[in-house]
Amino acid sequence: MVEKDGILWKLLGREHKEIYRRRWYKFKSNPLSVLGLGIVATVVFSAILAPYIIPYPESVGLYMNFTEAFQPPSLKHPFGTDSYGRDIFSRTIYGFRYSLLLATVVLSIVVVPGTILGMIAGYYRDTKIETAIMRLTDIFLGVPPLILALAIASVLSPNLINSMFAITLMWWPWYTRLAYSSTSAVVNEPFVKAAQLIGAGLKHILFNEIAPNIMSSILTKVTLDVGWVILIGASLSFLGLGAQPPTPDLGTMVAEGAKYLPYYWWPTIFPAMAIVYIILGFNLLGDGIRDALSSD
Amino acid sequence: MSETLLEIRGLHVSYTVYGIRHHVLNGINLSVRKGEKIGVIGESGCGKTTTLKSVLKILPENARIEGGDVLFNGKSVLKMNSAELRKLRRTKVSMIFQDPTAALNPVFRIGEQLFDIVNARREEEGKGASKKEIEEEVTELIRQVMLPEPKRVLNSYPFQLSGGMRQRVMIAMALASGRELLLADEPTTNLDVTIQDQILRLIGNIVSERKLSIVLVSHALGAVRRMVDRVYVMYAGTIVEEGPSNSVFGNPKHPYTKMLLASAPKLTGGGISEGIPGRIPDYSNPPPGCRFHPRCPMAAAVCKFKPPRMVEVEKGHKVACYNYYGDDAE
Amino acid sequence: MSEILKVISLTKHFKSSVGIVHAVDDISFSIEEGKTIGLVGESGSGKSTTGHMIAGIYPPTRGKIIFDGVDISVDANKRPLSVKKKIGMVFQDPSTSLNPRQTIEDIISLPLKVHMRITNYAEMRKTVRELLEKVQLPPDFMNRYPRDLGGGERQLVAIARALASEPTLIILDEPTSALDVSVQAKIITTLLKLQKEMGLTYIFITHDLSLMRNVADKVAIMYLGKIYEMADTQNFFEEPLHPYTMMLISSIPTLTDEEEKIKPRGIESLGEIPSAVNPPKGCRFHTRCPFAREECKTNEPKGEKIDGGRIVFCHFWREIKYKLTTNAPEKI
Repeated sequence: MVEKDGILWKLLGREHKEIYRRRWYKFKSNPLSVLGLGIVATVVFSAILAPYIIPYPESVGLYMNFTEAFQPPSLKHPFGTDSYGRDIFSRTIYGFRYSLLLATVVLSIVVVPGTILGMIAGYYRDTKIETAIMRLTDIFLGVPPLILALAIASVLSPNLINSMFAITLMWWPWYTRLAYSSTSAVVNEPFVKAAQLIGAGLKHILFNEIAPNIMSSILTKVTLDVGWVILIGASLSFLGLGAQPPTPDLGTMVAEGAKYLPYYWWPTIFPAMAIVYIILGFNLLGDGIRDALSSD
Repeated sequence: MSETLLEIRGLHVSYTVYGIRHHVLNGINLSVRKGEKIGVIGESGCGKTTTLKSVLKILPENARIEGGDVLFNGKSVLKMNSAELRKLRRTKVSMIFQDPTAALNPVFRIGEQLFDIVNARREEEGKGASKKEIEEEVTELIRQVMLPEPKRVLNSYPFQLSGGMRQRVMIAMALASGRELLLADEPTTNLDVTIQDQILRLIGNIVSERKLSIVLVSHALGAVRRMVDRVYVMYAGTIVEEGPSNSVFGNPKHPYTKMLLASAPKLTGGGISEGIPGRIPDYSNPPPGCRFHPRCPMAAAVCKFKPPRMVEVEKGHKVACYNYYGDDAE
Repeated sequence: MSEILKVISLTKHFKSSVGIVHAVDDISFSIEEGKTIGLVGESGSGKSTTGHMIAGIYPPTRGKIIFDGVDISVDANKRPLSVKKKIGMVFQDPSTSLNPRQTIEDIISLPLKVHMRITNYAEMRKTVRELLEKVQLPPDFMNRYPRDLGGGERQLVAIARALASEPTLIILDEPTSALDVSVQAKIITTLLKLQKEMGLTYIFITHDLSLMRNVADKVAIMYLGKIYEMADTQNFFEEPLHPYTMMLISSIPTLTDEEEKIKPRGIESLGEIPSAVNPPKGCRFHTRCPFAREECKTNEPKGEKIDGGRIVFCHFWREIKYKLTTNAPEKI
């Protein structure tokens, strides 16, 4: 029995159950959302468990076995093998780790400052603060994303860390924009006025009054963005500006395999399909989360 | 006594919200005779709008009619096919909504919208008419709802009109298609009191002039009292009292009606009652017996498990309450 | 009793795309401690704008607001904390004035943190519980969210929040217009009880004259940004002097024949409130006034003080009264 006055009651109490039930009901009423959740679950679990579940752990690194090179997909090698004779299935599963790592790092750096900047701009509407912040985001958003990342990644040496840095730099303005527009919609609500009249400080108004009300749109965007960050990361890797061989990064694998097209299609197609799989999963999940959160 | 125009018999309607069924209308019986003015009062959320919408069969998708019937001129509305329904909506029955902005199309001029409605009715009636005749009827309608500068109004878009004017346009539209019965759902709730006065006067005059029947749904008790011949009091999807307007407002019987009327502040002063404690029940799990018993100060044991039936206490004045059983009723 | 609030020549103009909106124009009134003043008018009368200026949502364009002897004619963030503590506000619609993502406890504890300096968690919960009891809500509501409450219960929470800083003046901006009468009754009785217990002063903004009759000590009728009549409640209803007041009272749908009897005769509602961008010259009511003459179209009426602290702004109120009381025809 949860104590009626405690914090736990707040989270688990009957008051919350109805909200959770409605969200889940709405979520599961769309089969595509459930499919998305399933896809994401398989990606996350296989990424976490990769070292234990892949059939050929040695294929992940610098391993060569030319007698096995370019084996077409078979029961032994479900996705075939690449030019070094490495098992593509093992590398693809392992590639999920890099993809998720990239997305997690980028988004965890980007979301908080981007959102706070946007909230500040939205709160100080029609002031110089708003103008400064929003014009800065316009500048960043004015440059085509891939070009900006390309420029940064090519000035710095090409590796996974620098490609993360490049993506981070181009990604924050999206959160600023989203937080800005959501905040603008909330800031004139009477409950914000009420807090101002009571004399609440800026910190309280931004984090206690406004933030909880824009979280659902931010959360939805985060889920959708996982897919897009992975796609941009893969694009950079494909162009040779991201993770370097022999790292089993999906983009890098596609690039390497592309050299042997169209004779050997499997080193390219399977990692590419893995990218599609991840993006599809997160997009469907994001849509589902958006629907679920709109129920309250 | 003139013949019955609309009869709602034991209507049950439920809504399914997030997978849970809410049993909202719980056996509604209501009848409207030709030329009769009927009022329905009750707190918001007690099923007044749902009742009206069932008459036109325009309930939202998550609603389900669980039982009962709606008869218009003796014919079941619920069993009508789409052509019959269209004919009903275009020529016989129309609805005045609370929010005219939602009912008017923002991208067409008022004149065009009225033209289409009149045209549709004439087609449905098989009376083709020339453009000129229809335009004449449109102008006549605008004149009837007493809009100043009819020419300008006909050429305006809805957003260019004030709330009161939009409600007048809405009434004109309702008149264009509803030649027998008007369903007015809180027609003056969003309006100022002086405008409400004008709109009620207008509806009253037109209804008598055209000998229409009207069902006026409102939680503005005074507005209903002023307008109608007979009134139904609704609570949580049940009719708890019905009777002639004078009798119900002057001498309410059901504890709910009494408390509701006592809650209204009086122009003569004298303070304000405590209101009705509690709130409308959760329709997914409504209380058994009389649905009002959890809020009723006079509830007895029997109220908690067996719903009371309607008993006539005075001529035409019926009430569903155990307090009135026994004497002359049983 | 002392005057707690005095408003002098208060004016608010808003800029808009179609021109300057004369929301409130040069109004003056005052209110004694422990009393209720009712600001009544239709939408567009400027009654809410007046309340918002006093609350500090925006500053007046011109004029002064004197609260407890202190000039507070600025918006809230320029007012000292001690003034914010003393003025509470209850908004019209509790479903938007309470943060949907906060629990009732979070909502009520904000003023306690800001003004009462409560930091201890146990003490906070105790105080919140007491405040809920004060507005007759069960204490376990504190763990709920606004959406779990009915409209009336939410408004009681908003009242509890306004009470938390122990204010002396509370601005009630149509606190019951979004609610059913059955629920309104509960809110009003609670408000009146609290006023008695705590000596609160209310500025009660509403369009509902019947309600005003039962809560206000003094009523000010507003029309297009102007006050046109101000009087003690009793006089106001039993002997309205301004034709607009008469029109308003005569428009009210009533529930009993006694009420019907006190409605003024010989006047009925006409026309609509004009735009506040270009308000009519002279008396702003002349476009709807059945008694308007040439003079009304050019000269703005001056306030005429009548005994009992009563003020009416009409050139011809005496004649109109005479006309309506002597040979009142049923309709003019």
